[in-house]
Amino acid sequence: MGVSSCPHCGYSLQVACGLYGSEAVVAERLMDVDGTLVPEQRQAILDSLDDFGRLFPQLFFLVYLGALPPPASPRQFAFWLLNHAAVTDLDGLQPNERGLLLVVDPRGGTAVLAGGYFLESLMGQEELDLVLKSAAKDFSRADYPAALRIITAALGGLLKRVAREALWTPRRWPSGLPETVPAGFPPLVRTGEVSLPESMPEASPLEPERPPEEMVPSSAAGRLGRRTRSAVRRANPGRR
Amino acid sequence: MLLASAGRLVALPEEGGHDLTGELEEAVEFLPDNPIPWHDSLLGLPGWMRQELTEIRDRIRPANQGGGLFPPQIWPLQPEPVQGPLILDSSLPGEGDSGLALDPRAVVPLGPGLMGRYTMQQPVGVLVDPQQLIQDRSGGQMESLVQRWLNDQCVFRTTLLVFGPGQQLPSDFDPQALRRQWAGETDDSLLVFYFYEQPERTLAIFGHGACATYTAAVLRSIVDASVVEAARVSGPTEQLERFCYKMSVRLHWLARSPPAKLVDTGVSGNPSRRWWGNMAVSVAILGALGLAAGFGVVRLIRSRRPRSEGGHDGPFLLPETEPCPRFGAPHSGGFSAVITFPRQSAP
Repeated sequence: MGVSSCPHCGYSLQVACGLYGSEAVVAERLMDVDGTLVPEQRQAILDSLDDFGRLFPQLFFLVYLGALPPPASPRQFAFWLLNHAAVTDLDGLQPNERGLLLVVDPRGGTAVLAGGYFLESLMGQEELDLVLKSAAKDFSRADYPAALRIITAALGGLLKRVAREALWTPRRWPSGLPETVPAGFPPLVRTGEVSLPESMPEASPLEPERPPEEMVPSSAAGRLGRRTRSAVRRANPGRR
Repeated sequence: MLLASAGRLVALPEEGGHDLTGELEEAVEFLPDNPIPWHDSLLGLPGWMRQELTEIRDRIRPANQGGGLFPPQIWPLQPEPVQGPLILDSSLPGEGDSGLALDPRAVVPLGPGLMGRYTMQQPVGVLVDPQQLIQDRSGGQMESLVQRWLNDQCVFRTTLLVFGPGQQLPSDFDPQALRRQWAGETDDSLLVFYFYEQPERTLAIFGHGACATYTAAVLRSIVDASVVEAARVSGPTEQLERFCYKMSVRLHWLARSPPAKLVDTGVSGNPSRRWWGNMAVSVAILGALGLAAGFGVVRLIRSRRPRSEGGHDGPFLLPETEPCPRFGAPHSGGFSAVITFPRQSAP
């Protein structure tokens, strides 16, 4: 059993839920909440996500591009979104612990790459830092499709090595490799009514602070929800 | 005991008796199988004709028939020889024995008369037993077995000649000539000389075809194994029957197996070419082993490669682990990396 909160500072998901809400959030693989991307860039990013999904069918990749809802800490927002996102345009049902989330705030000049428990079991913090740093130049040039290609390529290299090591050194991975791609997981975060909070509470003093100048307007959270809902309605007219 | 030596009769001292050297005594025993060689005789005895010698050896003619230097009081007339097969002791003389055995119970060569009954004319059937040695079952039954086993069920045309125990083929008899006489140049002919109650003395004469196809060791092993199998049973007819059966089985498998041909590879006579031939064979074997090892290594690497449907670009399966949630978060525990970059201006 895991711990429900940090034994030192008492931080937990409930703190983030107090900021952004405790309901599941309908999300897509690519959430361009500010409309930053042109269609070609959007398609290029979706192609990169498709390629990554084909290579590693046990994982799925989400991209959030846009201003963060206030009072937003990019890391805390990624932590909250990965635990609450209900991704609608995945080929198969995947629990969110198999997800990766890239949150890019162009205005704030921040990028966060977060992973679920499954990715955390496969690589360390330093590796994840290196993966994200490898795309720093492309983030600076606002070439987000190229940044995503580099990130997926670097992640792919690491994960392929992990897959090979699991074959050659089975003792390191006692559970071994699955015979087939796991499928049929219960839709953990897709049950129930999906709703988004209209207003964000104040940030908890226990959460990691970010500089005040990097704060984004408080209306971003509402825009995220509305834009996501409208995008889902456009893609799936029969679904609320 | 008297021994003939250089035409003079020398009396040897009896064991524990008195010395009789220089004293010519009355002959007490005559060995018809060891007559005095006339050319060694210093007495100028009349020579023996070869036919007479043969008849004496066969005990057909008394040794002193036709008179001699010694009267019957000195050299008594020998009894009439025994006609027919001699039931002798099972101890056999060495191979190539001319039949002049000192032990009268040893193997005795067949006389021309008896041998003629075997070889005078080509037999109609496959079993030649003019002495009617096969007792336990009728000759017809045994002949049908020989016909079925050694002729119908194998590729050889076999003729089986049954001789009595203790009988020996004459030294001047050429079995290969007899085979040629009966079978001509037929390659699949097989002549078997079987000695009743003594299967270990069996002699098999193969035709040119078998001798050209198989090595002598292979053919000899077949006969030897059949003889051993025959010796496992006790009855003489059962021995013959088992011999025929076992030999038919071995000949059958011999015909079905790839022949160990006595192929002249052309390198047998030249040591240098033979060395190169051996080297080529060694290189070929090593090459085959290397290929097999390489193939095995490739298979091992492929089996160890992450399973994928499309080669290198296929899906990679990652090891499953049990998640350990923390911070009350069901899916992600905040595992993340953060970088900052120059802010982009709003569009």
